[in-house]
Parts: sequence; structure tokens; C-alpha cells
Amino acid sequence: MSSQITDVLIVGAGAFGLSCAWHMARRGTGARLLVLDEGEFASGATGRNGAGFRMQWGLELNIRLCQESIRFFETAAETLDYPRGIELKQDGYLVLAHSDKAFERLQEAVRTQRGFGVPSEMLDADECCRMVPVLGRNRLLGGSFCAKDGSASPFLWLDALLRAARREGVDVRYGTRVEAVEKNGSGFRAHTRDGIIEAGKVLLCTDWAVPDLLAPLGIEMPVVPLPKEILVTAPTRQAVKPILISLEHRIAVNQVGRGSVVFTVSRAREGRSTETTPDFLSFAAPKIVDLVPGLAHLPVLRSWGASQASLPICSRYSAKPI
Amino acid sequence: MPRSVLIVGAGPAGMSAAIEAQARSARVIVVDEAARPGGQIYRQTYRPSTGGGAIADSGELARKERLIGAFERLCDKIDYRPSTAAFALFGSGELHVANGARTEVLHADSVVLTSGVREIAIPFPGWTTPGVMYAGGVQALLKAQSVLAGRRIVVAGAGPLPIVVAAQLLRAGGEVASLATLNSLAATARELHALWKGRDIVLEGLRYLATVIRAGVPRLSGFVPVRVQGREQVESVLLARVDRDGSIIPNTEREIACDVVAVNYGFASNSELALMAGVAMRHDQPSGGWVPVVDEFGRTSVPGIFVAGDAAGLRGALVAEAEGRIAGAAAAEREEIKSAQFRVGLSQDLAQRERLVAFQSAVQSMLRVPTGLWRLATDDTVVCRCENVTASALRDAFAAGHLTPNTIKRVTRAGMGWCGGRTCLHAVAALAELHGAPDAGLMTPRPLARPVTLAALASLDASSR
Amino acid sequence: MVWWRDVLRRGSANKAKATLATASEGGFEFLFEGRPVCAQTGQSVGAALLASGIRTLRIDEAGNKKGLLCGIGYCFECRCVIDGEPDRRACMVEARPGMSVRRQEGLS
Repeated sequence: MSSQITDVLIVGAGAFGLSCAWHMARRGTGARLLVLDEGEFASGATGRNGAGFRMQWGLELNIRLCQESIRFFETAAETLDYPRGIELKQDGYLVLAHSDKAFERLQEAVRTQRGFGVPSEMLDADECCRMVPVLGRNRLLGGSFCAKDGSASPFLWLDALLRAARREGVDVRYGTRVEAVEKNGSGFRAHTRDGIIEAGKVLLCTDWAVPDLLAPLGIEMPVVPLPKEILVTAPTRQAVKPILISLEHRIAVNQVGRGSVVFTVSRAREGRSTETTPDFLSFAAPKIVDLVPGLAHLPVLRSWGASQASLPICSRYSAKPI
Repeated sequence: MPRSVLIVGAGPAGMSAAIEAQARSARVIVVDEAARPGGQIYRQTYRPSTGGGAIADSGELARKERLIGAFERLCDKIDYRPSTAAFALFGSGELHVANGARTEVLHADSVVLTSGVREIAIPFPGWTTPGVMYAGGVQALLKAQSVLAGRRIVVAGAGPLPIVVAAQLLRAGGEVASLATLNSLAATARELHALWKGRDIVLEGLRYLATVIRAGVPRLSGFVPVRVQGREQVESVLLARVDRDGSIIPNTEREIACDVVAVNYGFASNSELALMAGVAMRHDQPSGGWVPVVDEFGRTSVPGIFVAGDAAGLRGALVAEAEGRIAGAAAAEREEIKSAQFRVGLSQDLAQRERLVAFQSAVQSMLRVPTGLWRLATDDTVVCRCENVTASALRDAFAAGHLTPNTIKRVTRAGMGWCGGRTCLHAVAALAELHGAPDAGLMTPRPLARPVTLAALASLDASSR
Repeated sequence: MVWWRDVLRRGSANKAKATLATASEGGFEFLFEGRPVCAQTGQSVGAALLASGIRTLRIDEAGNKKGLLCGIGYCFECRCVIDGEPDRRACMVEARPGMSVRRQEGLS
């Protein structure tokens, strides 16, 4: 059994973990930074998500975090010295309402967002359909739109972060699972199959698995996995410019740089599987065709499952958020 | 209550499995992507008058006619669905299929996967030029469509298939400008003991070789294609001699004018559905790459899922037929497999398979690709054709530590295109191994095994069996 | 040995019996890029085009010319536009009289 010492141990090499590592390294304190990930590059939540970023949230915390993030995304490729680029797209997000209740929620959210300087606005159904001709009109009442929202490739983004972090001297290792973390004097001790890490500080960035590591330390963290399943189509000519979210269908639609359209479908499901469930395709396809009938002819190439963490907890909320 | 058996693929293994399962009173469903049964080796022609005829050896033709005849006589007793593509299989044995604009979910007590193999090539400069085809594809055009792929064809690659294709092209009146084989006849002769066991097939092979020799086709033993020239389409091919490790021997290049290069370096198992359903696999490049682990009755690690024929390891049509019967019987009988009578009833097929497997291992040894051949691809050579990923983009990913098919795919998009990695992933994995990957990697299998439109998926019709 | 003679004899006799489709033989016509191409009943679009010497069925997003590769439907290289519908595999679609086939260019 080996033993290693580090100043900061980061558990999880997804976007959270690597981003933290890079920012910390840039502070130039000389602290030793070690990132451990149980899987391989982008095998977790970051590699499975629908790839969008937006300021259109209902809660102040999310709005402001994302405003700051988007500023970073806009120049990320340059800042991280990644000449290839991260397939950044800023054609906006259109959040759709198919019921009066949903429409009102969006109106309220826009009011909140504008209060923080987010340039979002409400559109009626006609305007939505002009913006996205493939949209179905069935029950559509309108939506909210913010032109600065957009997307980037999660893989290229993560690759940029990985290379930049390593250049700054961060030690990133894959295939190493942190089984447990315990207090050790003023610091911590982390147990892995290959040995023990003594760390001054520990940063848990393993998404919805965070509560598992905190519980033995006596900290209760009510984060639950939000399961979703994803379909991706063959590449096609531009068909959907902004990214769409339908509150009623619980589907997001993102046509990424390559031309493929990624459909992210939220769906209640048992367990934490990343597999496609047998009835997913028959569940999702009719909803997608109802939402964007103009895309019904697109061939689907692949599907996968994912779970992401529910909202980051920094304070208490009473209202149901976007 | 009769047991239901669902068979995927109507080649020799699938047809035999269907016949056997039906004979044991199972309710049989056969799905096949092609419009007519036969698979690849027994691919049927649309022109019955020519019989695809004299192009193939008479022994093969006789076997084809017998088996297809027996299968076709069965069609009113089974549920045979041609032009139907299976696109997802789940561990429960639930199979999702598509036919035109409709999709359906099929259930059965047993699922027998007899999806065979596909061809593999080694990327080299110019291999994406129109006119470069797989040798088996050229053969399919000849047998089924009565079409010569080109006016002057160079046939190249490893194993017996290039010899067979060259001979068949010649019998059809085509011009074969050269036959370049990686393996020498001497290497094959070394396996004489094993070859003798499969003597019927050896004779066929020798007849094909005789055709090639008599026609005076220039044979280049130990040569491989290293560059294709031609902008719009193939105009010539450069062949060079390689050493035991697959490295080009300097000053051995020959340029041959041609309009088609028919190439085959072996095969890969069409095991996507098995993988998707969680079946345990093993890796052996000459057998077909990632191949499902099966017991003597075709059972996999997932109860109720069987694999038979080339998909379980390249062993040819005769083994496929015997193994199809064995798996068809096992799929129909299930628990009764444990009885002594079951094995006795299959003794002929078990013995046939045993006899032929030794021969086939000799064939497989000719398909072992020496690592040097993977260096034929230069920086500009496109490796993933669907997504235009060059060798240099791959090498850049390797240098950043991305060495498994999953991680390479994520940063380069190799394997994310229309063909789902069928054309490139074996090459991506081999190149990664050259750059330090510890072993042959495997991309996580995901639905769908075939592209299906949203509209067709929305019509998905769950019919329980 | 007797069987050697048998091998050699069969090898040459087979050559005489084969007959092949040529572009000029009967059947029907369909259109490729607006120009007539001959085909026989049951032949695939890809095979008929190849018999007429037409190899390029598609030009991809990067400008690369594509034609038949595997010939039997699993590589998806030969996708073209058939009767207005894009991404149809030429090797899998049966040619029909009056069919309109066009090269697929770029993304569909």
C-alpha cells in the first residue's frame, strides 16, 4: 500500500474538478494539487450532458454563477491556450411554455433575470415559430429567449481544462476511486485501492456521489441524482439555431457544432444507471416528434443515460426553480 | 407451450438454427437486414438464370442451394422478416427492429445472434478514393448483382478471400491486374495437417488458385497496397513488399494501373447487439476482434442469448451451418441441454465443427495483421471516414493520454458517425496500441446498432410474444 | 494424382459459363443527376451505377468524394439522394424505372 501527501486533493476530474484545479493552480500559491478520478477521461457526468450553458434560471444563485461562467466561456479557448477551440456557440436558449402555468413561470423568471442584467425577453408563439421553423405549434404559447446563452463541446472543454491544468503542474490521475475520506488531525486521509492520500484539504467534485463521501463525516447533503437519457442524431444542415428547452416535454434540443442534434430527456428512473433503458426510445421519440415535428425525419445514431446532481446547495430555497 | 426462438441474421448459421429450432417445435422468428436469405457467402443473385453461377465453385453452390431450399420450404411455418434491421438488444432478450418507417419490439424465450462478420481494411494513403472497395463487397456485386466493379482490378490483402475473389472475377471475364497477398503459399503449406482435415474446402481453394495461375495474373506474395493514386477515382495503386513485422522494404514498390482496388485484411464480428446486451466478450484479432464468449452450445454469459456462426469466431460457412444447428437446438430445448440424449442427438454436428475448426485456425493464422502495417497511414490519411479524423488527429489525442476507444472518440469524434465505428474502430484501437495503450480497447456499445429515424421510433409498437 | 487433374480441369471450364450484366443489356432506365442509366430488375442503384462506370455517389462536408466501400449496407459511405430522400444507401436500394438519383453534397 502506497502513501502520498498533497496539499489539496480533488475528487473527480469532470468540469467541476478540473476547473477548480486549474483556477487554484493559477493562483500561484505553489500548493500541491492532486486530482483523482475513478473512470477515464469524460466518462462521468460532464461527458454525458447536453452541452448547453444559460443564464435563464429562476434562482439568483444560478443566474449569477452562470453570468460569470458565460463570460469565461466566451474567451475560454484563448485563456486555456486551446487553439482548436471548444465549439463555442452563442445563438441563445429558447425556453418554451405549453401551458398558462409554464408561461407565467417563465415571465416571473425573466423578471428576476432582467433584475440581474440578463438580456432575456418573452416571445409569443408566432415569434418562437419564426425563430425555429421546425417547432410544433401544438399547445405552444410562447417562450423566453436570451441571445447570450449557448453551448460548447463538453469533450473539448474538458480536454482544454485537462491540458491546461497539467501544464500548470496539476497531477491528474484516472482509474483511481476514492473509497472513503476521513479526518486526520487538521487534515484528511483518503483511501483508494492503491493506497492512502494525506491531504490538507479535500474538494469533492464527484457530482451526485458527493453525499456518499460526506455521510461518514457526519455531513448530510441532500443532493439527488436527476436522471436523464439522451439521443443524438446524424449530422444535418442547420435546423435549430437556438437551444430549446420545453418545460412540458422535459426535453432540451441542441444542434451542436458537428450538425448532430442532441435531445436530452429528463425522466424518472430507478438507480444511477448510465445505460439506455429498453423503453426509452419509444418513450422519447413521440415527445420529440410532438415538440419539433420538423425534425422527425432525422435518423438517430446513438443513445446513452446520465444523471446529474440537483442544484448546488449553498442556502435554502422554498420555490420550485427552473 | 412451445418455446419461442428469435434469430438475427439469415446466413448459413441463422438458416440452420431456424430449421433445427422449428424441427424441435419452437416458434421461430427470423429477422434479416437483406431482402433475401443467404447471408454473405450464399448471397443470392437477382438473376436466377445465371445462378451467379459458375463464378462460385460447384461445391459451394450445391451447399447454398440445399440450405436455402430447406429454409425457404420452412417459410410458411416460421415468421421470417426480411429487410428488417435489428437496432437494439437488451439483456432481457428484448429486440428492437426496424422495417422501413416502422419499428417493433420483439420478445422471445431465446435469442440466437447469427449476424456474421464484416470486412476490415488497414488505412493507407488514398484508401478513401472512390474505387477502393472491400474484396468481399466486390464479390457481392459480382455474385448478387452480376456487376464487375471495374475494368482493371487489383486484388489485395490477407487470407484466402483475395484469392477467391480474384478467381471469381476472372471466371466472370474480368481483368485482374494483380493479386497481392500478405501471406505466402509456403506459410499456408506449413499448416498441411490442419488443412487436410478440411479437405473439401482445400480442394475448392486450390481450384480457385488454379484459375488465377492459369490466367497468368501477376501474383505478388508479401506485398500490400501502400498508396492509391487518382483524384476523382482510383487510377493506379502502389504495392510494396513488407517484412515479417509489416514494415515496408525499401525499393520494392510497383505501380499498377487500375480502376478498382479490392482489399480485405480479415474480418470483425458483428457483435454489437451481443455487446449491447451485456454479453461477455474476448479479443482475438484473426477470429474477428471482439467476439462473444460462448460455450459448446452457443450459450453466452447472458441467459437466453446465444451466438453461433462467424459472429462467435471466424470459422467459415461449414462450421456456421453445423453450429447454427447446435445453437438452434439449444435455444429450442433450453433446460433439456443438460440431458445426455441432447448431446447424442447433435453428435454429427459437434464432430463436424471439431473437424473443421482445426482447418479454420490455419486460415485465421493467415489473418494475423503484423503491427507494422498500422504505420502505413501517414498524418493526412483519414482513419475515421465518417467523421474525417486523420491519423495525425488521432496521434495528437494519444499524446494527450487518450488511449482507449471511448476517450479517443470523445476528443476526436472517431466512431461517432453513421457507421458507428464499424469501419474504423479496429484501426483506432490498433494505432492506440502502437502508442502505448495496454491492450485492444473496446468502445462502450450503445443503441442504436443501425440508424433509425425519430418518426420510425415514434411508431414503436410493443408486441409481446 | 487424380485430384490435381480434376482441380485444374474444373478451374478452366468454369470460365465459359459465366454471364454478366453489361450497361447496354436490357431492363430499364433510371436517372442519375438527370442523365439516364441502365439497370436490370432486382439490381441495386449502386451496382447499376458502377456498371455504368459511375463511382462517386456523394461529396461529404469536407469535399471528399465517396462511393461504394462495403457494398452490402454496413459502412454507410454510399449515401445518396433517391427520389428526393437523402441518406439512402445506394447498395441497398433496388433500382426502379424512372427513379431519380442524385449525388448527395454536404450535410443533408
